[in-house]
Amino acid sequence: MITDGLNPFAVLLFMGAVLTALTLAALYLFARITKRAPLARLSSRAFLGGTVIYLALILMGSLTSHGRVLAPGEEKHICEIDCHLAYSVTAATAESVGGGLVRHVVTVKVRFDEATISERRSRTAPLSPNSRYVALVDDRGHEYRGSAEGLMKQLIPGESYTTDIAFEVPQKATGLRLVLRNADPETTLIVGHENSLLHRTTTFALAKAS
Amino acid sequence: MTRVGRIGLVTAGLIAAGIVFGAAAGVIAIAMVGLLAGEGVWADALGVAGFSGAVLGAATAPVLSWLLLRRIPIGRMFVVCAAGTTIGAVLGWFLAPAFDIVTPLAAAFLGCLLAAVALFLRARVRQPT
Repeated sequence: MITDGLNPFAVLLFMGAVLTALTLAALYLFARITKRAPLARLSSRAFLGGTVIYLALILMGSLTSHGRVLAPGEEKHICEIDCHLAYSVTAATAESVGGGLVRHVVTVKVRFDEATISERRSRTAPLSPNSRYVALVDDRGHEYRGSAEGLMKQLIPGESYTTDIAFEVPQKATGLRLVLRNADPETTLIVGHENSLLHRTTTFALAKAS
Repeated sequence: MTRVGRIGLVTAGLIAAGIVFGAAAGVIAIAMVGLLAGEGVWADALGVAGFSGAVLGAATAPVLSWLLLRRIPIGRMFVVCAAGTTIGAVLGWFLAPAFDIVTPLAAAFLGCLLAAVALFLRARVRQPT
């Protein structure tokens, strides 16, 4: 399964790091208020050391990552700890709209992968996706953002739908690929997540334009 | 065993104990909420509360015991901090304006910190001059 890199261990690590940082910050404040210099020094050093270690882990995860471009029909699962929602590109069209711009319409299929839920889970309980970001990216790395509104529908296990997303892109842009990822800000701080600093991403090739 | 090795081993033990006491605090808190609200106790809620408490305990136990509570008997530290966590979580649950997990978790965290600070200050007062 191709995912955005979110997994329970990375989430646990993130939660533990946040709670540890909060504890150290609270201890530092307590030490400063009650004028206990050694405790303030220890807690601030531990805070800084922990931050450096966590950032190093994020960088290690990013520098060992691989970028990939998925072929039309190939799925990427975007995770909210569990990876239930699968996304793929099924079609794409392009037409000139004048002014040096081309309007691309990309058809995305969203599927609730029923193979990712436990047998105990209700087959009628809907899932709402977290926030999403969609854009077309060209060979030079320029991103042309589209609206992710059509990707926010609730789904029950096994259900799927397709939605068209429009982008206006300069005619000279080449090698266009679709970026479709989680847009929750905390994912930038999760080790191994494709949104984290310098991490390579999984994008979608556009189906042949008609 | 080297000094670093001993520190690592003690820290791992503190994390393990933090997981156990944190999970227990979470389970007890959600059971108390269920009983006080008259809604009974759900198995899924016990799991979520236990998991959240375990993460909280794993993060706070080594930091508090190494930096703030080194002179406090370890058993007392875990029992008092777990009690503070439980009370905080229950209060957070009932004080939250709507159903959410973040408020009880934040209140549990605050309860744990307050219990640790109270232990620390009490031990300082009792110390012979």
